[in-house]
Amino acid sequence: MTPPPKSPRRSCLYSWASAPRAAGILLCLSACIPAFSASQRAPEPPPEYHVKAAFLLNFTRFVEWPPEAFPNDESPFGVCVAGNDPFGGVLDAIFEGETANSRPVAIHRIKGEVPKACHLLFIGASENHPGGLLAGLPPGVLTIGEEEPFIRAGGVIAFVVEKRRVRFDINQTAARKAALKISSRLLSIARTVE
Amino acid sequence: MRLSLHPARRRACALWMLPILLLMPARGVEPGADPQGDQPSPAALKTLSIEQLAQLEVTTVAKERRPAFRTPAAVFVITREDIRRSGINNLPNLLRLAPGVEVAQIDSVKWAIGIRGFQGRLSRAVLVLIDGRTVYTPLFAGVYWEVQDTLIEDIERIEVVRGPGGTVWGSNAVNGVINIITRNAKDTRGALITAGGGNVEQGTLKWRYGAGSDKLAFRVFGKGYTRGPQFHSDGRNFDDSRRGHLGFRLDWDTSERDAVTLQGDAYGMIAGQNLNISTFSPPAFSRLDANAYLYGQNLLGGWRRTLRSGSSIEVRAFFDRTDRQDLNFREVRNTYDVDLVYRIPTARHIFTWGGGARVSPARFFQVVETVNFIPHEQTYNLFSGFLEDEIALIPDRLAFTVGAKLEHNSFSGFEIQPSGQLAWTPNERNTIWAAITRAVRTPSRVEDGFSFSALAEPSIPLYLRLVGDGEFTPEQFLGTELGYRRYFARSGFISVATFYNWHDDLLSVESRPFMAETSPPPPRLVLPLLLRNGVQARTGGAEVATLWDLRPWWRVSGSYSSLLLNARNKPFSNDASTVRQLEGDTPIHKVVAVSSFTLPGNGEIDLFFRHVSAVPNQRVPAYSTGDARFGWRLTPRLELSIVGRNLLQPYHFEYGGNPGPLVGIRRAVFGRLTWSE
Repeated sequence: MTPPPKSPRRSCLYSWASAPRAAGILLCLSACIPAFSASQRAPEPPPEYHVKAAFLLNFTRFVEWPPEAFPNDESPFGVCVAGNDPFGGVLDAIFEGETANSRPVAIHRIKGEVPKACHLLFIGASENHPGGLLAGLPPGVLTIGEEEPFIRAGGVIAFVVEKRRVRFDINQTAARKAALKISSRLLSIARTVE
Repeated sequence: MRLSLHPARRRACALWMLPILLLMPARGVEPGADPQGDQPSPAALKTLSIEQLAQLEVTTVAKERRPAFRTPAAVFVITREDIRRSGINNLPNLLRLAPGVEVAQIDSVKWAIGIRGFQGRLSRAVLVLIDGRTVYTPLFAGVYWEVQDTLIEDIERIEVVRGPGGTVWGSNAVNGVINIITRNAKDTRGALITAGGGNVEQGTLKWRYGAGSDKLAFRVFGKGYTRGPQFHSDGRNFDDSRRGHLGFRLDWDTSERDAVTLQGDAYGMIAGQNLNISTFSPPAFSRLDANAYLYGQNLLGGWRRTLRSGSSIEVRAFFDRTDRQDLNFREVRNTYDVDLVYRIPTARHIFTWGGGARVSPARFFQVVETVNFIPHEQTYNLFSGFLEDEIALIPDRLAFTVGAKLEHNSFSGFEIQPSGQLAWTPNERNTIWAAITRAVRTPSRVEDGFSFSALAEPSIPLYLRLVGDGEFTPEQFLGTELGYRRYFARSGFISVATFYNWHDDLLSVESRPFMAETSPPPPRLVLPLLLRNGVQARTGGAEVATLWDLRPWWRVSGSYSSLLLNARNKPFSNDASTVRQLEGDTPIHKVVAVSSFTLPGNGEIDLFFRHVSAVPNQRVPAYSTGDARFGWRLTPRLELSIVGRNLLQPYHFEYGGNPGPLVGIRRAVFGRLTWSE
């Protein structure tokens, strides 16, 4: 069970002396990485969530909301982000000066229950179980999430990053349930439509 | 040192490096990327049509790892893609990918694994869960790694938490938690068959069939392998093994808010072992090469309801039976366990509370007279409750988590384990976190009613006798951690964790005066060694992990882990071996580097390098070795992969644990054909 003492005490020198090759390979790897990073400077693609924010604006243009979703003609169009906000200030920059369904846009960041003023609800990947938020939403809310399981949980649109491009899937059953009309242009760009 | 200058070895290294050098692209050439000019501003993005947006290439932070971004703990996630591209076929070797986890193979069947020190055959004080089912055995306070398995292809991810997961996870997670999560049955619909063979993994056949709808889906799977021995300089090739495993999982969304899971496994394994066995009657000592027979079955049911308020409630219950027929003892253990977790997110708080009960009756069968547990039948009980509150001091920026777990176990009574963690996220790219935790490692059967005698001197005869007499009290732990994570716009991240821990009342072996014994005959002299709490230790260290997507087709990652452990006897202790063991059983340095290429024409090349410094107490010198995987998708459904492991030398040593000379871990090559739909 407890073997008797056997060997000399450890020493850093002792263990590292046997690894000149290790050091060589690491040196090579570490020397290559900065070189390649530097060579990459010129064309820089935009961050994923900047593009997703631009998509959200576009969705408002290709989806028709039922009039009942708005209490009156003056009430704003609510864009809501549930949980951790992955967009930072970019969402505000994208929607600044824009209208949605001919209404001014109000952005809400929400925790817990979804307020009535949400027409577009983004549920980020930080929300592990979107099912609870999705269940019991009133009609007239376009729910947008991330990754395929979101569609199965009853969401309308799910972003999917594929080959470094932002694509999306649409769940038409869920859209109908939410009384939303999705334009054929949006459907044709979607990766899959269920 | 044998590793340093042998010309054949150098050649092997050069060969291994060749693909890296060949694949180094010329500067500025970036196949597959569209020229885009400077990064567009949000205002510019608004002007693009939706069709253009869909074509735009973006930078992503390795999203699969993102949920751990704000976590105030040293978490590393081994993703499904990591697992697939490693080509690794068993759970213990997969853990080599995680920083701070020391994995050493003892022979073809056994591993010694540790997190932040305390490495050993049974990974003392590391909690291992497979879909929430704990596989920690209260017999020896550890995990029998050789029997832990599942269909590797259906693992969603492995979360490795270094350091005390004490608060939420319960006792015996002092040094870390390893959480193996398999895929939802909805994601594994379709058939999969994989067959392969090689020089060590001689033959493997795995299959899975899954079917169902988005509401109700199931899978069944089977797995069998035969594995050959590693290198034995004395020619005793005892460590071959065979195993068969059947399992299923069913996932059913009974309503929009309810999800039910039912899953189970059954396995049988024949594992070759080599053991010194002492007896009181002649011949008093023998060295045995024979097979251990290891069986297990388990069934787990889970139910999760998500409430409209965003709260969720989860109940899980499992039954686990293990039958371990080792060469010198047999134990049959049934574990019944129920757990409940309730999570209530509000605007400023996330409350989590829960509780659990575990009843684990076990029966010991004595096989040799020198190994005994008294009484033979004993039931281990564990009752626990916990409460945790994550408080958003500044929403989305500064979070403070405080929690405590109260536990009652049948060996040592009540234990309370509080913790506090702070996470500061100044922006979406940086997190700085700190944690302080108290944790305990509670006694196990070996410390409460165990007796093990080994012949030390045949001429007298003199026996050493290890005695667990129930006087052992829980091992105490106080840990402090500080960490930093940063995500880069250019698809990379770096994560640094440092720790300094105080361990007190660690297990020690205290010798008592010799005594003469006449029953059972023949007469002999016995040196009792009592299991007590006579050792203290301090551990400190750092782990750095990084990952870069340099090109859409090229990812590099790597990690460095260091550990310093200083132990000393407490004043009353006369233990002569534990301090040296603790200090010399875990390597100080570990380096892992991975380079993964996706080639045109559906090919993949993955190269792995690791360096592990010496393990003096096991007489294991430092070693460096490399693995490589070549994968080709021949058709959309058929994949061929060739995996080479430990390629830089014919064999190397990783850990002791068998009588006789160290077992060399061989260079291994394995080919595999996978058909999936």
